[in-house]
This record gives sequence, C-alpha cells and structure tokens, in this order.
Amino acid sequence: MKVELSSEKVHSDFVKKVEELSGQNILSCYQCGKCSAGCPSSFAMDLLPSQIIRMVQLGLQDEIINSKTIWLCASCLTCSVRCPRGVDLAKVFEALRLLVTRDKEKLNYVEPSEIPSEQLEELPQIALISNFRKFTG
Amino acid sequence: MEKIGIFICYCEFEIASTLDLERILTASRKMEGVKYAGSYKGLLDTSHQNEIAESIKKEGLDSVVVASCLPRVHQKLVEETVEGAGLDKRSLEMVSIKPESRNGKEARDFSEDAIERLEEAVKKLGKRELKPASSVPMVKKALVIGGGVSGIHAALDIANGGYEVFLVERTPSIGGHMVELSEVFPTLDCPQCILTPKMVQCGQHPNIHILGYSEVKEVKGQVGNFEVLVKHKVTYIDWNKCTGCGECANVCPVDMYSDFQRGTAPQKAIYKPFAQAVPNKFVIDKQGIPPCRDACPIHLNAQGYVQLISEGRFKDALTLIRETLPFPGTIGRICVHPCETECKRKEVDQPISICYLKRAAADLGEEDGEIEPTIEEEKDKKVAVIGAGPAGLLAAYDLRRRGYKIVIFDRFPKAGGTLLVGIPEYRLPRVILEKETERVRKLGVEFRFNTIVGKDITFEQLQQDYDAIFIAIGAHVSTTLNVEGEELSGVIHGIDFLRMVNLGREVTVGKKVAVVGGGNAAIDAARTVLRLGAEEVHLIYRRSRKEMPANETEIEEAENEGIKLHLLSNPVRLIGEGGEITHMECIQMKLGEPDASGRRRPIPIEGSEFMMEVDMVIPAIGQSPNTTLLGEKIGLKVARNGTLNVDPLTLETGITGVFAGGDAVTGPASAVEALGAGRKAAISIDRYLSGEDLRKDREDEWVKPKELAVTTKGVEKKPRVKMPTLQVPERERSFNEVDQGFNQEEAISEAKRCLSCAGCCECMSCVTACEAHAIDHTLVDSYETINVGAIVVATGYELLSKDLIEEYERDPDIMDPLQFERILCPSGPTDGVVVRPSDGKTPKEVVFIECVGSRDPEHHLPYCSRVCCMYSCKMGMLYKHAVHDGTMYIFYMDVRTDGKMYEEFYQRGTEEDGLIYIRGRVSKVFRDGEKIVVWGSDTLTGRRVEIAADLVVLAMAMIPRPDAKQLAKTLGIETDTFGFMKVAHPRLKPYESTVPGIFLAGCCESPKDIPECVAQSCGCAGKVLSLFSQDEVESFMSVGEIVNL
Amino acid sequence: MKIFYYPGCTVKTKAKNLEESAIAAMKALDIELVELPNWNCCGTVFGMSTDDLVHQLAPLRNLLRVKEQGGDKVTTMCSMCYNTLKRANHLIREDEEKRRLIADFMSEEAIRYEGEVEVLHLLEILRDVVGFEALKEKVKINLKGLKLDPYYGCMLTRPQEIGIDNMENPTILEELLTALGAEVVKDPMKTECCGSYHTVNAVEVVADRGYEILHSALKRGADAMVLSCPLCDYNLDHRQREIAKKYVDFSGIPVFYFSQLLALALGLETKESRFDLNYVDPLPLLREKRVVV
Repeated sequence: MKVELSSEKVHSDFVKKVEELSGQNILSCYQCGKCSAGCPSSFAMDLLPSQIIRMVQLGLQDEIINSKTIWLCASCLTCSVRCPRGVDLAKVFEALRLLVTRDKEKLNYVEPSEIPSEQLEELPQIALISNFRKFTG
Repeated sequence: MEKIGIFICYCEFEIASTLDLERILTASRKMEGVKYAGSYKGLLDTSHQNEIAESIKKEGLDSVVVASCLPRVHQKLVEETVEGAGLDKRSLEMVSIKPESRNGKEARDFSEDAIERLEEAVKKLGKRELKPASSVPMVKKALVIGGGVSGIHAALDIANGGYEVFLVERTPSIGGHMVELSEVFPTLDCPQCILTPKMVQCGQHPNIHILGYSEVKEVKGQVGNFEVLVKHKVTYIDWNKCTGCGECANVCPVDMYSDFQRGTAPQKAIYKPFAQAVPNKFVIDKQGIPPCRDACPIHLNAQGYVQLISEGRFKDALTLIRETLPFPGTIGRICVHPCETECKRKEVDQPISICYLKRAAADLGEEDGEIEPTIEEEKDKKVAVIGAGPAGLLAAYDLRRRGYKIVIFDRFPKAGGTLLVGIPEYRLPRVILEKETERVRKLGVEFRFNTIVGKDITFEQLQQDYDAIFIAIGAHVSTTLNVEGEELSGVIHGIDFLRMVNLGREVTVGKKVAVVGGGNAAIDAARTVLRLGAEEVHLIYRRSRKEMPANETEIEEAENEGIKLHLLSNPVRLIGEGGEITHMECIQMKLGEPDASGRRRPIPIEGSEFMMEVDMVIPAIGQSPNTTLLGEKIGLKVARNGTLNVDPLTLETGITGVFAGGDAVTGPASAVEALGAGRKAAISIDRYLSGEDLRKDREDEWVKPKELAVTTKGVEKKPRVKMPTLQVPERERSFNEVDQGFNQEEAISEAKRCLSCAGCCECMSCVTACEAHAIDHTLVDSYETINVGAIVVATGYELLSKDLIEEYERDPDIMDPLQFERILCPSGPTDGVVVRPSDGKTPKEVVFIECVGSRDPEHHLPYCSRVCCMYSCKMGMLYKHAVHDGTMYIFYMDVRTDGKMYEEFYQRGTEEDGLIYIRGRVSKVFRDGEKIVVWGSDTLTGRRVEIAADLVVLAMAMIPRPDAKQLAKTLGIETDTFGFMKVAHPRLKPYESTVPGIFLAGCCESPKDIPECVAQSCGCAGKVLSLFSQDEVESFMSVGEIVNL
Repeated sequence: MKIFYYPGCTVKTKAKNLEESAIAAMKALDIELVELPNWNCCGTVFGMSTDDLVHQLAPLRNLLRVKEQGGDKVTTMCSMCYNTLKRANHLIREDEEKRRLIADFMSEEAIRYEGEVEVLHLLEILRDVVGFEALKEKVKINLKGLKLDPYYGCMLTRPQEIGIDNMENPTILEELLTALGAEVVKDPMKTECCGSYHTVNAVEVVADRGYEILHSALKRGADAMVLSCPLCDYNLDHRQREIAKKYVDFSGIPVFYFSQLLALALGLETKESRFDLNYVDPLPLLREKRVVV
C-alpha cells in the first residue's frame, strides 16, 4: 500500500481537469469527514467520499476509477451543503464521473440497451433520464 | 497646512513587488497641497531619515506624510526625525500601504488603495490647525471593565501597585465563567477554590471598589483623564443593609432561567448567582409589568398570585388578591378574564386559567380568621352610593377604607346588582356572593335595600344629606326586538326573567322555549329556563358562532346541556292565538361587510323564512340603564343609547359632587370593568372631598408598560387543566354550581404553566421575609461618573448558540460544555452526580463533538477556539471518574494540546481514563426514542460511524460577549469582524487596544485559556503601572493618526 | 387566478395521481394551472459541471416558453423539475457570461431569455398565494385522526439558495398538513435521500434507503407518508415490494402525494385523488380514520 508522490502526480492534468470541471478548489478540503458522515449511500461504498477527495488531492486517479464510490453517489447534495470549507463535493463527483463517461475508451457505467424491457416500462422516466444523465456518456 | 511632503518607504519584498510606485508617486504629486513626493528603499535607516529632514528643510515643508508597512511600529522613530527637522510632531501623518493578504478574496488594486489612503492623510493635514501643545495631569486611578479571572487579576495587580481601581461587573458578582467550571486543566484544580480567595481579596482590598451589577455607558476624554459614565442597574435591594442571608429567595415563588446554571437549574427572581458571590448580595430580576396585569381593569397582580399558587401558597395568594380585590370568589367565577386573552402562554398552547386560579385561591386559601383590611383615620364626610353592584361596592369599599362614612342605596333586597339578579346560581352560588359582599358591610358601610332613589327618597334629599354621590345603577332595561307580537303573553325579556328567578319569584315556564341573543345574558336565560322545566330550549342568534359575545365555555356548556343553537337566524314576527304566543317566524341570515362594531353585518336572505313552534320567547339582545328617575330629570346628560355622560378621566357628571360609573355609563359591560370604574370613582371622590385637583396625574395612574420579551419557543406544550364540572344528568333541574373548582393539585399544576413574563411578580413575599429591611421595590437605576487615567477591558467570552447548528437537533440531552460543567461540578445543581437532563438517568455512552461552529468558514466561524481540545479531554476524564463504566467518545479533527503539560494531559486521558478519540466531524445528531443518534466519520479507518448515545456535548465556538461590540464603540476601540477587540499590533503590542490608555485582557481580545488570560491581564496591569509613573500626558488623541486598512 | 404550470414527463404518465389531484385541488382554490404550451423535458437533474451548458438548454428553454407566453411565473409539482428549473435559472442569473452564451445559443427562438421568470413549487403557491390560514377555512373534510409523516427528500430544499424552506428543518409540509387538520409526526429522516436514480441499476441501495426512511416513520407512529416527488414516490411506494422481500419485519405503509390529501380535504370526490394509482392502497387507512366513507 505504497504511493509515490511527486509534483507530477499532485499537480497532474487529472487534478487540474477535476478542478476545472467542478469549479472547486480541491486543496480546500481538510479531510474532516463530515461529508462521509452524512452520506446516505456511504453504507454501500468501498471508499468514503472524503477518501475520494483525498485521492484527488494526491492525484491517485486509478484508485478512484477502480472504486464503486462515485457510481453510488445519489447527488443528494447533503455533503455539499454541510462541508465546513465550502467544497461542493457533488460537483467534484460529477466531474469525476464525467472524466470517465466522456472518455471514449471507457464504457458507460450503465448501458441503456442492457436494461430489460419490462423494467424500462415499469420505471418512471424521471428515474431513467436522471440515471442515464449521470452514468452514460 | 499647505506644503506637504510624502515619503514612501519600500523594500523589494513587501511593497515594491506588489505596488506600482511610479503610479503612486505621480498621483501623489497631483494632490492638492503636496509639494514633494519621493520613495526610499528602507526608509527606516539613519541615512534615509536624514534625507527626510533634509527634504523638509530644502522644500520648506510644513507637514509630512510617511507611508510604510508598519506605521505604528515606526511612528516614534519618524516623530523624532520630524521634530529634529523643526516641525511639531503633530504635523506628521503615518499611513500603512501594506497590501492585505489575499485570503481567497478577489485581487484588489493595491496601488489604488494606497493612493486612496495617501489622499486621506493629505486631506487631514490640509485641514489640521495646530493648537499649542498642552498636557493633562495623569489621573492615577484605573477602571477595569469585567470581573472574571482576567479582570480580577488586573485589578489586584494595579491595586497592589498602590493605585485605586474601579472594577465594574455586569452581573451581581465577580468571578465570570471560571466559577461555573467543574475543574480546570491541566492541574484539575477546583476553580472555585483557586479563584474565590482572589475574589475575596478584591472585595476586601482598600484600593478596589467593586461596582457590581453595573455597566459602562459612556466614555469621554483621553489617556490620563477618561470620564466614564457608569450605570448602576437597579437591584431593588439596599446593598448597605443586605447580609446575603437568602431568606428572601426561600419565599420567592418565581423560578427563572439562571445564566450561571445555564439552564441546568433555575434561580429565583430574587437571587445571588452562587454561594461564594462577591459582593455577597442579592438582586431582583424584574422585567416590567406582565401583560395579564396590564389587561386587567383593576390591574390585579395576576402573575403574583398565580406564582404563589404554583408553590401551594394559597393563603398568601389570597392575601395578595385581597389587597386589590375584596371579591375573589365571585369574580373568579364569572369574570370575562381579559388577562387570559393577553396571556403569553397562548403562544405555546393555551393561556393560563387565571380566572379559575383566582377562584381556587378564594376556595382553598381561606383559613381561620379573615384578614381585616385597614381603615384610615375616620373622616366626617358622607358619601351616598346608588347601586350595590360591583362598581358601587368597590367604590364604597375603597372610600370606607379611606375613612369616609358610606351609605349604599339599592332597589333590590340584597347586594350584588347584576351579580345578584343577572347571573344564575349555578354559575355563582348565593352563599359566595353574600359572604363577599358582607365584607363591605363589616367595614362599616351601611346598606339600605329595597330603596329606589327618585321614588322612596329623592335625589335632592341625597344631595342635601351627603357630601358626594356615586351613581352606579347598572343597565337593567332590556332592549326590545321591535317585531310584531312582542306584547303577547309568554314573551318575557331575558334580564327580567333572570331577575325574577334570582329574587325567588314565581315564573311560568313554557315547554318549547326560544331565547333570542348571543351574549352571556342569553345563555344564562337559556340554561336557567332549561333548569326550570322547559323541554326544548332553542337559542336564536343572527350572526355566526365566532361572533357570539358570550364566553366560549358558556356556549359549550349550553350545548352540552342540550340547548340547540340556531345560528344566522333572526325573528321577524311573533304569532299568537288568544293573546298567547304559539309561533315565532324567523329568517335566515348571511354575513356581509363589517359594521360599526367591527363584526360582519347580518343580512337577511330573501325568501328563507321558517316557522318555529314556541310557547315562550325570551329576548336577550341588549340592555341599557334605566334613566327615567336618575337622568335628565335631575339634570344629568344622557346619551342617545341611554347611558349617562361623564368625564372619562374623573367620572364626574355635569353636576358638582355627583359621579357615575359602571354599566350605567358604558352600557352593558363586564363586572371587572365596573370594578375598575368603582375604584376610579373612589379616587375622584376622595380628591373632591379633600379639596384636591381631580385631574392631576390621573393619566399617569396606569402607564402602559413596555412589551416584555418572553421566550415561548421551546416551551413544552402542556394543555390547560380541565375544570371539573357537574355531569350533565346531575345538572337537570338543579341550580347547583356546575363548575366544581380546582383542588390543590389541579390548581398547582395549572399555575406551574405560567411563564413568569415579568420575572419578579411583586408579590412582596421577600419584603416580609427580609429581616434587614433591605428590599425596596420602588428603587430605580442610578448613574455615577468616575475619572480614571487608564482602562483595562476584560469582558470575557460567550459560547456560540447551539440553536445555530441546524443539523443538530434541539434537545435537553444535547448540551453545550458550560452546561456539562455545571453537571460535573461537585457544587453544581446535581452535586457532581452525572445525570442527563431529560430523565435523570446516568448516561453510559457520552459523545463529545469538537469544533462545533469553529473551523467552519462556510457556515459559521473560520477560526479555532483554542480551548476546546483541552477542556473536552478534561471533561472526559471527570466524566470517567464519576461514571466508571461509562464511555466517552470524542469526535475531533486535530487534538490541539500545545501548552505546558497539555500533551501529557491528553496522553493521560487516553491511557488512564480510556477516552475514545475518533477523527472525523459529525454530520447529524437527532433523537431516536431514549437515545441520541450521532452520525460521524472515522477518517483514519475510512468508515462512517453511528453512535446511539445517552448524552451529547457540543464544543461550541468561543465568541465575544454579545454587548462587546457596543462597548467597543463606546470606548472607540477597534474590533475585528467577529467582535473581538483588536490589539494595536499582534506581535509587538499585545496589550494595547487601538486607543492609547485602553488595554485588553483575556478572551475579549481572542480565545485563550486561563493561564494565558492571567498572563495577559498581569501584563496589562504592568502597562497601567508604567503609565502611572508619568505625572502628566500630552493632551491630544494621538501624535499622528494612522490611516487604517 | 391563472398560472403557468410545467408538468414534466413523469406526471403525465407514471405519476398521474400527483398531477390530476393537484390540478383539481388548485381549481377548487380558484387557481387554474394552465399547462405550458410546447414544453420539453427539463433534463431531470441539474448539470453540475462548469462546462455543461448544453444541459442547461432544456430547462431554460421551458422558462423561455413561459416568457414567450407573457408569463413571469411558472409552477410545478414535481420536486426534481422544480430543482432543475430553478437551479438552471439561478445559474444564469448569477453568471453573466453563461447567461449571454446560452441566450445567444438559443437565438433561433423568437425571444431572448435572461432569467426573468420566477420558478415556484406548488407548495410555495399554497403557502404564499393561498395562505395556510385561508386554506384552513376551506377545509371541508378534516383530516383529524391521521398521523402523517411529511417527507421532503433532497430536491425541494437543497441547495439552500433554491430551497422552498430551511434545508435542515423545513416545515412547509407540516404547516400544510396541520392546516388540513392532520397530526404530523416529527421525523429526523425527512430530508434523507431515498436513493434516487439508483432505482434503475442498484435496487438494493434503494431498498436499504427506503427501509431506513419508512421504518423511522413507522417507529414514530406514522399512519402514512406524504411527499411531493415522483421519484421518491416510486422508491418509497412502489419499491415497498423490494423492501418487503429483503426485510421480513417490514409491514408496509401508505404513501400519499400531498395534493391527493389536499384534494380530499377540500371536499372533492375521492376519485379525483386517484388513489387507484398508489401502490400501497391507502383507502383502508382513510376509511378507518373516517376521512373517506
């Protein structure tokens, strides 16, 4: 569990892109964990939301992408409204998801064509549209 | 000053790197009055200082502006240079042009800022006229504002240095927050034990004058001679006599919020904050006049007797009532209680049953031997009162107590007026009325019953035989319906019907009865006729239920008894056969726009007539006085509605010596309003007979009190205690009293709902209990001006309110640290036994949450409050010492334990006392049944953490006292954005405020712990002593003013 | 009075009970909800990334339509539409450059939209235009006896700048239900997320969230939930099937849209509330409490 840090890693394009897309100053986060404490989906996550932010701070791109956390975010905004440093975490997570879904080499997290038709009929549009907006490119 | 020179100091690092010097110099040279502008690298060394002196001489400058990064530090040096060049040092202005750190805010144009500040300095010099320099003698006395640990140490050091000190403290005792604490870190000493000796020293020191319960209101002057206006808030107690014994608090019935106990225990309205108070004196917390007392027409002290009842002191309550009202049993049964309409408790749930409680006092408070009211020296003037109703009775009572001879004439066989002939027995038993009106007779008032003035005795005869007359004949003429058939047999007006029943006369009652009207008289008539044998009773009223003037409880009871309400209906004609009534034709109504009374006008609906089969109709739609004998005939003015005209201020009629009041003047109103009129008439008649002016100061008799701030938020809802009533079947055909009255428990329980709006209720129990006779409720605030040469501000801190943290619920088991301190404190309200407020159980799982409101730039305060890490560790240790099998969890971000022995203390907390530290903040705290659920994080293991706690303590941020900003303004000193008072320079001048002669000590300056407070306050004392080594001081505010950031 | 109303996709299909009861109830209060002509899907969720201007077009185009029709206000009953429309509106009101760019991009429209329209949730209309005191007077069937648990979810109150009430402690639904005569239950879960769009591909998460929220209500003595959002409704009402499968002790609880109860309380016929479209049948409860015969 070793990580080698360097200015390339902590000031990488990845970090810059996340900051740009989210409009947030990632280094504002002082890792208090209040976001994780109030997150309704955190019970199902492998990495906590505050840990994801930490990884962005250190430029640990792969670990973020390999975790389920950003795909379990429900965009409920509880983290964003309670952060003492004013970091809008929901926007950071959106940026992270976009970096994956906009990348043509990666697959969509949810593949609409794979959803069975009975489900498509049963689910309200509001669920389908919001889901695809978040999880597909 | 017209020849100004501007000298700008720069260095590469600080100023040149961020400012555009060329631009600044160009702009400066253009300013009006500026003859020279130049910049110098490193202005503060000798060669450049000489250059300034040279330039002054060469250019013939008469004034100088010097701009640098730290003007306050550089000031003295530059003054010397300027004086060396032959100028008065007041011709110098120092300007700071150091760019403020960005701190995430938008980049400003620092050069533009600098130019603005230079311009300001230039303008000031342009206007400045130099008066001859002078000095003032140094007043070698000091003022210390705030008597906490900081203030106490500063005062002692200055006093020990040989100078007089005034120690002004806002609360009744010195000690501050420190005496609220349980133990102090890192030594775990008892703060009361270490501070009280110092407090006593202050109290006994010949050089220290403690001005307790006082505030600084105004400050004028300058260092060496400040003129300070101090307000001594009224304590209502003469501190020269008070011995601090506490007998008064033992008898005070009012519980109030205690600042010292912070809500963990109440204090009485008369209190000493804690046992070791210095000065050892009591104060009374009186907020004003409560709304109930204000609303009452006789201003009966409602809060007073309610609070006495809440302690089970029925006899004392009755005594208090009887000082104002001799008829509590009667009025407590029938009053319309305007007090209850204004009662603040209604904002929580329902108003206090003030009226029922008055009755309870009368029922339960009477013990053997009635209290005899005093009568003044006998006078030989005689007063005739016409009418033995409430107005006449109270007027007679009051006048008799003043020593006059009174005769009451009344047409009825007994006393009471409408109380006797209007109100039915099931509401007001005759024995009660008789017993209470007997009190008037026992005083020596003569009653002449069955006497009609104007018939059995002439009014002129009375005018001859008596020195004054009060007409209080009431309103006993019923208003007619004005419909066809009103003269039919079986139609009898309400008040006539009730009078006959109440006087024991025979009345024929129908089987199907209709009562017309919506007031109390109508309901009385309906419920009475039901009891006399009517089978069906219908009440017809032309508006809706909301508009009915009768008491709501009366309407409800009428319905309970089976009386049918026909609302929005009105009779149009009465139909009979053979002279007897058989039917009543009515029409349905709807409500239109409001009329003159403010109530919506009833409008008949065309074609909606309906017929009612009746054999008796009782109209009760209004009343007016009978002025045939006592009206225009005797020269009195009568209004169009039949009432007598009087002067509203004095109740004089047009005839000298003749007064009138009550229903005869107002039209039908309530008994308590009539009582008010009787009392007013007595004052007027007394003045008239003594030859005094009737009008003087009458308007000030009762001044409308200011609105009181009463907390109704967060008060637990608890509905009124229900008045036990006779069951409906038992009421059938019986005139037994329906309302049974509260018993002791019910009365006490109801009285405990009172919110104590006014604080002290003036029940005067304390006055009786005080053996030193020190209490005087008529005292007022006083003021004093003192002259001092130096001021030390030590006003301390407050904690940010928990209510501002919205993601944590409001709950008694979620407390702030000072509350927890009171619980842990061995001399606290629980004697150090740790119990939780909601149910008194021992909490086994306690959660302490750090940084609540601190280190939170987004929502609350950005700074760290410094002391919380240490005190939470301390409280954790004390908790574990008290509850061995308990667990304390501390949610933290960092553990900041940087003082001497602090880190070791923290280590002890974890190793010896097993405190569980969890690194993470808490997102939500809420109640779940008996537990308080805490949602936090453990960032070190990467887990979300949920704890079901028994008790939660929030380490709230430290903020200045709420009145600190106002005090700073009064003193003219600067504060930062949070209200903390600013020192002149954080590194080099940590004691001085921004005004010379005013020093800052303790948490009013910034959050710090007790050792640092003591260090700072002793430093301030040192500064003061050093200042006092001078015998005089220059008389101007400052040598050169500094244009601030 | 008339006011433009933006339906959004779901109320026209899967949440007809919300739409029909709302329109009928407002009509009984003399407010006609005029469906916005030519409306399009709002996009459901607010596009949060700084470069995402394309996704703002959908909601803003709807507001443009309102302006085009001469209106200055639009209301909606769906919480998610409310949030999306209002956040997009707020974005262009605060950011001059984005306002200009988006307006320029929509230059083929007949008019230019620059943030002139006010977005109001139907609950705000009830609170601020009708007034809860006045509403009390119009209640024909008192909901006395019903213990209701108002549920806000996320989109009505967060973030605070667009919230219809205090985001940590909103009381607007409580005030509405109290005006209708019901008793409200205090529940700390009322602003906790239902799982939202995870209902498509992570149903387990929704089942767990739903259980936590509904169990809290049941524990606190609630007879039923009351909410405003079709997605919350799907997750908390329809998904009770999945919750019951996973949690054997779960007994089920009816879930109402606030407008269904409003319509009922105003004395409209029961069928106007479209209880037939609720997953958990609420009629037995309503009959038991004598609100419905």
